[in-house]
Amino acid sequence: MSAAQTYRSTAARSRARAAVPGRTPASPPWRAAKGVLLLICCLLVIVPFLSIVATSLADNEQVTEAGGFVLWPERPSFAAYSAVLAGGVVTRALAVSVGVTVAGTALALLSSITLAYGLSRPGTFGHRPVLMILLFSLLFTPGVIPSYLLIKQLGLINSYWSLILPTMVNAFNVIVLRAFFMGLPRELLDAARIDGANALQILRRIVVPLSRAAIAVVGLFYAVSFWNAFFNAMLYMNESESWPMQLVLRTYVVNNAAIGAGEVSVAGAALPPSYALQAAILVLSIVPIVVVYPFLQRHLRKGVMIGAVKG
Amino acid sequence: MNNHVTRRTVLRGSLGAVAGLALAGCGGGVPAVPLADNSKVRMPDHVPYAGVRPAFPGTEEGVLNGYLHYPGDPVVAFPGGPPAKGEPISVMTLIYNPVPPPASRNGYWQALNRSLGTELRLEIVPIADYPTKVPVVIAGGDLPDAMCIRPEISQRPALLHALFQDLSEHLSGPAIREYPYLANIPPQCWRSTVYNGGIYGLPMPRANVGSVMFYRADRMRERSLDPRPADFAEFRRLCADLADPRRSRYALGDPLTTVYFLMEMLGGPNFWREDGGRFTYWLETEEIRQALDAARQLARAGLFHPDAFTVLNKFKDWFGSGQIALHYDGNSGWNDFYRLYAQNTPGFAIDGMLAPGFDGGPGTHWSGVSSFAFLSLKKAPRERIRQILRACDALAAPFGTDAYKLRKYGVQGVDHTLQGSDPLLTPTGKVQTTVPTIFVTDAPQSLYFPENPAVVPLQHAFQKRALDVLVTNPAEGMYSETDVTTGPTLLLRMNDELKGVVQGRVPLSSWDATVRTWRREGGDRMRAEYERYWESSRS
Repeated sequence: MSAAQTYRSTAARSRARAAVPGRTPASPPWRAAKGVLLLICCLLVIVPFLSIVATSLADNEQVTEAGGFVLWPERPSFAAYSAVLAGGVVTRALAVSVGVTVAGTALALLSSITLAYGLSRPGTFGHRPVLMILLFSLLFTPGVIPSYLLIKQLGLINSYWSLILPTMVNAFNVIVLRAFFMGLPRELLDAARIDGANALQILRRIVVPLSRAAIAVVGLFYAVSFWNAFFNAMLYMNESESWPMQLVLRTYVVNNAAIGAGEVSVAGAALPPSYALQAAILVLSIVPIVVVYPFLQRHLRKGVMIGAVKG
Repeated sequence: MNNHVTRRTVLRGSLGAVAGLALAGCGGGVPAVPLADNSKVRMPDHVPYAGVRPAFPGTEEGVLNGYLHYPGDPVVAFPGGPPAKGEPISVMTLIYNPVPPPASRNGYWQALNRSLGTELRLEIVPIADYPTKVPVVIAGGDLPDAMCIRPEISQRPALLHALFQDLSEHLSGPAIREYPYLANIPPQCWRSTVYNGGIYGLPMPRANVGSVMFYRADRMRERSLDPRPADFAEFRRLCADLADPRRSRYALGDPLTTVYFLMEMLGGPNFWREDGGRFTYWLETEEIRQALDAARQLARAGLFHPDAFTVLNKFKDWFGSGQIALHYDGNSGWNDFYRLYAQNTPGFAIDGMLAPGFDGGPGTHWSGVSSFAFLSLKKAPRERIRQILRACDALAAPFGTDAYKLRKYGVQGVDHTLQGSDPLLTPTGKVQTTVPTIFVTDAPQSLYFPENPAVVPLQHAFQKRALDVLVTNPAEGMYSETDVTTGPTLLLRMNDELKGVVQGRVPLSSWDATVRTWRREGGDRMRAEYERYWESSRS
């Protein structure tokens, strides 16, 4: 479609909208006001983000002068990124995080989809008790010490499995998927069964293809939670070599806040990393999600609208 | 390794959890061994290291040795070779810095291991998460060979008694002479390691001088101001002269530490005051009322940074960037301020201000803690304990030795380069040498700043003046279960109230009610526990 055609179709849509009965076209000042309001909303989101990027690229002098809040780096420098990536700790942690996120999300989706499908079919063996156990885990989360003892007894301390298994099945996500699967037309599944398909084939060939949007949403939830997780790593990974990104970043950004006023004299540790370094860390931590998000956006938009207009 | 989950292991795990929770839950702070036994502990002999002559000698009272340069030919700390040959040693400790590269990719760490003769396996936990991880590891029963015990760990006497080694036979009296660098640690540092009638750890020595009211000497010179006010009135005038709100320049940042400084002017207690066995908390004294009133005057005069009451952890940056001219902070920050901010500010200079008497005459200065925390050793056979102690002895090798140089500055040519005889960290060294050995054990601190030796005489002079008027905290080295469990929450609330009063949000007249609440909700229990502990140390 040419630019002219695009313009014509947009204009036609605008006219059609204005012609909706009972709806008067907005006056130019009102439209301008709405535009300004939307612009402010956009700036509220974009400026902090840009500021973090700008601060990460600014030199110490400018960051100090600006009080830690730089909007545009006058002398752009990648020194903060070099410092963060020196020694290989962050790059190694990045690889660990990517591995845990990819493997964890795949396994979590596999287990959640199969579990949700089983629970969505009335009459499945153990349907009720399993559902109750799932709901129970939603209401009552296990304590830190019992979880640690279990992981230890399973021999998973210092194992990457300890970062995946405890959070592999999220009850909320399973219930979302189950609700979606229950909404699929029963006739379709019955027809497949009459055609000789077994439960696994029905799941693979019919349920999953029809549920792409819901699965994408749940997958994104899982991916983000695996990516952001640091607590289990702190508990179960004793060797910093196996730490994921978020736990390494924590030592850059959060440790400083742990020094209370009463402790000013005792730590004997160096001053906290500079703002530029902290900003660089933040940028590095969000890049993978920002990169992946556009590819999932289409499914995500569909997914979150699931059931929105059902009567 | 058999990792199968059996009914028995689950049951054992559950019992472990219940025991852990029970240990954490039972209050009262009843120690495993009667308190009176603590007075019978024979403290380690103190044998100061005399291998290197300092340019500015320290004192027994706590002034640190000052050095202008590192010896060109460092003393060999262990002429007989690596002292701790044997099995690897696992240590769980904390870190404030960004985590260093692991041993497998850290040449400094590998060199350190070679010098020890064993593999130092550090389980590093970010400081913010340390209080969470310790109970979990203890409940799990999978203790490392040694563990950093922080003041916030509750049920400490019972915990130490049950799981950790009493080191008295190795360290008490002359026994410590077998570990000459541990014997170099000053006596006051050992006080916090005594529990259950024994020595249960190795200190992590810190400077007695505690905190410093840093001032921007360059700004003082710029405005021809005298950085030594004679009393509070002069201090207030000095603050007013330093402030220039139109240029976003203020005198003061943190309201809380400003109150500390005012308490030093007034001769108030260093958190606790002991008088004939009766303990008084600093917030219930008459001095605090006067300090709060004085701080209100400073706030009303607009001498605090406008965000002083709403942000935390920005004060260092404000000071470094010149937004505030006075900043009360740990003495260890002295060198770091230069490292971080001097390169961007031509003429950057700082010095320490001692509190004058509120109405003239000498003020006081609060001591800091003598030991950051202590390192406890898991119960083990005698020979294993001796091996770990030898490793710790090496980690306490003092300034002037080759072991100290390696520990602090890494490998020459990789982690540091020499400027004369002084080691300067390279970018690689800055990353690799953050291995947190200072949170295992350490030598007594020393005043040394290879990048700018001219700072050392200033630091030494400040310490000498401060030690002359030092006020110690009588509760240091004592244990109160209530202070550990309830104290931090209560302190947070009291600090909020205190800031409210300084800011003018809360009337000073409500302070009595605030203190009554503190007493009712735990303050009196803390007092009673400290008094009982104090009494036991006298019997």
